[in-house]
Amino acid sequence: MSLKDIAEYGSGEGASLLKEYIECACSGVMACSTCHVYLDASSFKALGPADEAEEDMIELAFEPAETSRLGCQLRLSSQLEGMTVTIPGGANNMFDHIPFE
Amino acid sequence: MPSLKPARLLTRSARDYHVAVVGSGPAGFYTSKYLFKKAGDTLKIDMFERLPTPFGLVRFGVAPDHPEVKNVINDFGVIARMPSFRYFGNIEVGSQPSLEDLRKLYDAVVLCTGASGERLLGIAGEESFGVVGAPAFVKWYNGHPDYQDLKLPSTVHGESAVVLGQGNVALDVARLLVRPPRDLDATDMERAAVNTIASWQKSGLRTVHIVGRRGFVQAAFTNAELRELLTCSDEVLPVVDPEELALCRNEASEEELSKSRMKKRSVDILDKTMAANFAEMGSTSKRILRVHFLRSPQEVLSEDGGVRGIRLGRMKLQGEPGRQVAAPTEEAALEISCGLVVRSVGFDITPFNGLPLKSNRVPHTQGCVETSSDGLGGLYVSGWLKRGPQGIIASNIGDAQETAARLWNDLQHQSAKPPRSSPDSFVSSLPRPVSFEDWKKLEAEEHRSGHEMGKAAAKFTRGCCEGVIFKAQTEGCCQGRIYTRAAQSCCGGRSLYDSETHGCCLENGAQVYRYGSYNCCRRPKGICRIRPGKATCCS
Repeated sequence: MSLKDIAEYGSGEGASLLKEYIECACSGVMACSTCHVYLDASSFKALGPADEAEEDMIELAFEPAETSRLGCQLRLSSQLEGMTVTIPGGANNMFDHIPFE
Repeated sequence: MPSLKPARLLTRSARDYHVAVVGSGPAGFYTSKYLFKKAGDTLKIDMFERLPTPFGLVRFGVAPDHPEVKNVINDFGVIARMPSFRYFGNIEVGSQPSLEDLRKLYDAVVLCTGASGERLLGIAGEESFGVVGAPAFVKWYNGHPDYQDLKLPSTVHGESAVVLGQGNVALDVARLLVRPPRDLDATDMERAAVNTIASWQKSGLRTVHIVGRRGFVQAAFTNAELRELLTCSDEVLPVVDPEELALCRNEASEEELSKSRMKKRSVDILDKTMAANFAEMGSTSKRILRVHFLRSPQEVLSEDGGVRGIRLGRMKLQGEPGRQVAAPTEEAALEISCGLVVRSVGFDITPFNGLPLKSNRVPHTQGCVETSSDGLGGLYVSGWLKRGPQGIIASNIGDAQETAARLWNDLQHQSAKPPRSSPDSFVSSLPRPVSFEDWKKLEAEEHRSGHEMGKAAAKFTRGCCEGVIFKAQTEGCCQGRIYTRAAQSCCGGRSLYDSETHGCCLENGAQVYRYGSYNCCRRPKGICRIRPGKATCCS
């Protein structure tokens, strides 16, 4: 079960909030970078490194950082209890913060 | 500060809005998605697409050996199936209807027509036969109906092809030229194109050069595509000259490199494998993909109007880190003997009738070209038409959100106007549009007939003539047969006839008759044979 799966199929407040912000343009097969998220440092370490193919996709995402991962590859486990996920600015939340003249 | 509360909370009665979206690629669908998110069920969207088939460059631009990138059409299908969304394929806005027609009928029109034009290099010999632009070449092998007649050389002189440019499109083109045709045929690549590439390889095409004028640190390709040059086939050897790689590492480039995680990973691919392969270039029997840096085309060499070679000047990098440009040097140019040159240096906006352009860009603010005025709905843009022809499918997401938010905000803040009457009578008068249901049937047929041929899909490049698809402007469909309107007609929807010499009589069923020998009469109903000496046989 990945973060993207929760966003797409999960129920409950947390899942619906995720759904608002996590896009998935390739049906979860790591062929895009729309589910890109930042993790907190310790969760990032606990998860282990991304493989080469995921790194290639992360490069294409909006402002990748040290703790970037793709939501569709982020397998949830009890190790990640308390994980904080940050949505990168500019890619998916332009919606609510556009200054109109 | 304008309030962003949805109108239905402020006014007594809810008001339905009707928006037209022109173009069915990622820009069109993402804009529709975010408009629905903002508006909920107070919004209806009608989407118009020039071709019968939807999805724009997702269908015609993505490399056929990257099918997973096209999964986004599943998302688009969800939007297309929403009850307040209608798709009208085979309708060319700008021709019939005009842009102004649409603006009179809809509260807003969003143009998402992208950029399909070519960019030229402006060098001597560019017009030679055998020099093509990637926008056309890619659409040719991807089965785009307008590009199936692309004229290409039957053999490739010099056993080499040259791809100019170093974006991912250039790498796609190069990779597809050297991959084994049996691999290509298993995809949804147009079979005629597979056969052409196969015959090029059979008749000697061995090397494809990929040429960029700056260094690898500045090149636009990304690592996934670069890595794929190594893994795409056992029959392919990707190489780069290690000395040329070293030339790319001037001081400013080293500084750029130190700041880029992505480019550091590129070094690995280029240095460790491609440079190491360079030594094998002379002795290998594999097809070669050679990447050149710091080379810029000076002239295309031709004979009898056909490409025979290309001269590439040596460049050097000049300028501050992050802003380096390629400058010419006095060093000897490299001449490559070749028979095909593909120019992959970007796309450009194609104007259409009624599109407001200034220096080949549509002027806008946050996607708004013009807000609604007397009798005309507002005009908006999204996608490549708005930002310029750059970026991947996902780049449209933020862009579409901006246009959708701006459009929705503008609609809420229009001074109260009576709702327009519904565009329904307009859409029901459209000439045989292709619905999304029709498209799904066609898609199923493409897969079915493709599978029969051992392919992922066999795209319909002209028309599937079962009342589903045909090129309405120039062709027609007559009981399973496509015909050219200029020369023929279809009588009663069943009988094809030469309209120059024959007529169609509908008085008694549908009868085709030869002019001069027969008449079509009300009395007796139907056709009758003209007797010699008589002017007519009708009573």
